[in-house]
Amino acid sequence: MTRKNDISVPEGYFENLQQRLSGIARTESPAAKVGVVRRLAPYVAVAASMLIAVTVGNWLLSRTAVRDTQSNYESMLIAEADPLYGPDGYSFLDDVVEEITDEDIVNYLISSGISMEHINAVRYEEIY
Amino acid sequence: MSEREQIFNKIVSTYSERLYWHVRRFVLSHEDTDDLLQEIFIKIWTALPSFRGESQLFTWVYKIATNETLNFLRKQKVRAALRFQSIDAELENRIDSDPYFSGTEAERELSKAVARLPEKQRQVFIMRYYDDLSYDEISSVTGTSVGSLKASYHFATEKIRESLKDILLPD
Repeated sequence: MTRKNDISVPEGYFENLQQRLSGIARTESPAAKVGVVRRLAPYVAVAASMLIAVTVGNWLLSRTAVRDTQSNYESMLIAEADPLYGPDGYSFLDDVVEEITDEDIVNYLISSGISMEHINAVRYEEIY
Repeated sequence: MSEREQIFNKIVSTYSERLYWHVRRFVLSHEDTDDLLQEIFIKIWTALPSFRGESQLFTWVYKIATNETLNFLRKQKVRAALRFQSIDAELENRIDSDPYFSGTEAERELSKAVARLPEKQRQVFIMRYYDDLSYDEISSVTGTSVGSLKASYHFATEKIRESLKDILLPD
């Protein structure tokens, strides 16, 4: 094993490392990249399809808006009574919470500049 | 091969091993170091066109590696806090369970003492003691004055000395 004082690495690690790192340039070089237009084309197609769907959907909904006004009003009253739940009892927060990962929380805390003292203080309050 | 690729490959061949040891002293894990090096060199590749030679190439590369490493450690610290765990305990566990640690017991305790240092002192100590950089070089990388660096190093060695005295020379 290759050793530097008290730490060692697997034999041949650094030779293999250099090969792998050099691969970054080969992968990221312009010749390996697909043209910008070709790369964006699928996304433009999807965006255009969604725009058409939304436009048609809005037109259809506007034709039924008058009929649904009364039931919408009742739904609004129910929703305001308990803002966490919709008319059918479904919690809107469930989906949102499931989408937030630990990584999201960590990245938010770091970018917000919150101090470790504050985190530990909050933790202390939760325990005691 | 483009000029950018040539310069990048030169950086890889010249600095990859040196950066490995630098990062390894901070994250205390061969696997994490390997992963982090990939990210560091991707950052270097991406930022290479913007390097104008205002600083030495070595300083520039070292600064990227150090910033990425410190960001990695900050994330680990926040994750540990969210799990109600101590990052110090986690780092000591890494040293004890590291299959690639082959030093003496005193060297193991030294690694633990360094891991317990505050971030700034730990950074200066690693770069001065393990990486063997001059204070001017450390100042170029960190943007801190030489005087502050010397003070940080002094406090770091004092803390380490106290820590090792209690462990290696108990009453």
